Amino acid sequence: MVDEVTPEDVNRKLDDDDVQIVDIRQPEAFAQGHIPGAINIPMTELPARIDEYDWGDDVVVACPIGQSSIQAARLIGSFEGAEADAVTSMQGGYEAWEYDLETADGEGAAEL
Amino acid sequence: MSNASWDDVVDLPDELDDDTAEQLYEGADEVQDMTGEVCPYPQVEAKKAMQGLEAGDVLVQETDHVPSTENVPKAVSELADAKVWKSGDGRYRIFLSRK
Repeated sequence: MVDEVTPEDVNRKLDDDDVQIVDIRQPEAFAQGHIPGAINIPMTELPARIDEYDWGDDVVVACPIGQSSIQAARLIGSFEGAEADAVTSMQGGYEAWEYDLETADGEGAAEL
Repeated sequence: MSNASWDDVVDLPDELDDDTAEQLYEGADEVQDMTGEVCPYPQVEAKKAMQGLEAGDVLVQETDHVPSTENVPKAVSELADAKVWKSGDGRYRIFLSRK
């Protein structure tokens, strides 16, 4: 079972240095605008790349509509290097994200 | 290399045996090839197709992306019942029967 967090909660968490946002969309979508500080691991690459990262105590997975992020959160949580309870999924995905976005060059983007 | 696998974390719908799956596939009203596609495109296409089907009609989505076998049925759960067939070599067929 994966807990879901609202975009509002995720936006509040951004002030916390410990949160890891994992964006599982394709690189093109990520480059156009993503949650500030998010890392991009496309969904199709996640199983092979899951051991490249040190998973912390607060991981939020974000996807287009908040469905595949649930499975991605399960996958990360099942990895021996991560704590299942520490991984959550962002409810509604980017479709529900109404806050600032960051682009590939680190600049802000108005909207997707 | 990681041992993580989608198969371990995806909730599959009920599975079909080979013969039943073949029969249903041959009689399907629409087949969508979603090989290589990821969320949300397969969900969107399944929803669109469902609008044009009648009760009892069958839509089949072919996919090589395991999470679609959970996400697509979830996306059309109000419109269709889902079953899945696993080829055994990484390909899946999602059978969606219009309610």
